Amino acid sequence: MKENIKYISGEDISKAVAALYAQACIGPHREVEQKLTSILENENPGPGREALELEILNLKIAAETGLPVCQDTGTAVVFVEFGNKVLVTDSSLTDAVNAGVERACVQSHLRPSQVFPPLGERKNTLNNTPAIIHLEHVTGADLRISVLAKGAGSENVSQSAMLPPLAGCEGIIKLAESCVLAGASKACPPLIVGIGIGGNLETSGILAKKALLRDMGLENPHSELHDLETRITGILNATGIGPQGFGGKTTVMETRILQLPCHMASLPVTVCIECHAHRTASCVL
Amino acid sequence: MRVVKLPVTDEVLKSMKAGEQILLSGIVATARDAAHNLMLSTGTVPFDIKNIPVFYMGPSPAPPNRVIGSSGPTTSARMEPFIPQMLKLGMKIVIGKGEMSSETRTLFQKHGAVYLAATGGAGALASTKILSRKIVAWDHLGPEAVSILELEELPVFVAWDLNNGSIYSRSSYDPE
Repeated sequence: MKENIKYISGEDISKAVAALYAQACIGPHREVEQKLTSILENENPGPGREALELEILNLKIAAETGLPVCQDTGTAVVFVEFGNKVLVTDSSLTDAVNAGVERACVQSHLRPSQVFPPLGERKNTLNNTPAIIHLEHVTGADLRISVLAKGAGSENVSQSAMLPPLAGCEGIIKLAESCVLAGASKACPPLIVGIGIGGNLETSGILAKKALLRDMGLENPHSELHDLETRITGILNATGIGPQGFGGKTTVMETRILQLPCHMASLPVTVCIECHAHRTASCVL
Repeated sequence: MRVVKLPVTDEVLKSMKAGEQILLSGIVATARDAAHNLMLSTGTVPFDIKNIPVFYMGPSPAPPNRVIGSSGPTTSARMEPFIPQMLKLGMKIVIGKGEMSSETRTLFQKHGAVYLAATGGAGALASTKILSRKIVAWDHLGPEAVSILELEELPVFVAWDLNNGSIYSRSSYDPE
């Protein structure tokens, strides 16, 4: 039995998290760059189009200079799929992840943005810890780590709601519209809209964030959710808000939905807004 | 695209039209939430607010051999509670990102102030347009310290002009 266990040191996890967090913040971000470039081809002349050109140029400059794409290198949101045959030696997973975030912050010159306590002094922790860690225990001998550098500009315009159980697609569309109409220009569009449907108050939020991790261009395997994603993207793009809110055809690059079962009396929904500088990286140990 | 050199004359300020992209050169001051709170609670504005635009920005740390890290704008709407007082003190140009309320827009009109939007999320690009950075107050705030920057042709968009024009009004946008 013992020979089936995979031993992973805390240091290996820290090293991986530091590399992933820096890679997420700096790039290269070829998928996003390609997507923005394809959007540009379809965009009319005007300030929205000009802003899109600057967004694309910025991704190239970041990759060339090693500067972060955005000065807000975010909260480090770390998703871990933890195989049941994995044993982390000499450290807790939490400590190892936080050590990795601190290392990336110092060595890769990322901005420390975490403050404590949230009320009153709001003193900067100076190393951007703590990370926010979402752990899922799975079968197998792998440890999969995904890091999302989540900026506050887009996070601040996201919303959760406990909708009536039969609010259906219309209720979800209304919530997505309310986020985007009120907040899109503050969140650096073209956006990615992550939506978590079901679970409960806290899991709908985690689900919406996890939905953001889906690869660019990958279709939702559930056809009814794929249809809803297409519909929401269409409705939000018809607003004309456009890149940076300066007017244009593309306000939203993609909508990405995940779902879970929920209580018969509830329909928990979170709409998590992500900026055009979508910064994520993952690996398997 | 025209280069606008700071400080600007009244004529140049008047000539800025919503939707226009300009390249901004010269001196600006950075301040975010915590710095605004300190400026207005202590009554000390550590730069010449009548002549120096306020850039809502907190950079990432400067890597070796660079004057500043990534330097894109932060969300302007968070600074709205401080704007009435800043306008009264003589602020004429704000650089930030994102739409602000119609109440704030009315105040900008009343005080003859212009709102410029830099490209949100384009911090690496902005960093390459900054020649120098000097912290002038509240160093302990880290990225939120008040600093003086010298810009060289930073691309920004006129968001609100002096004629009540707005880049965020989609009435003029034709999807086809």
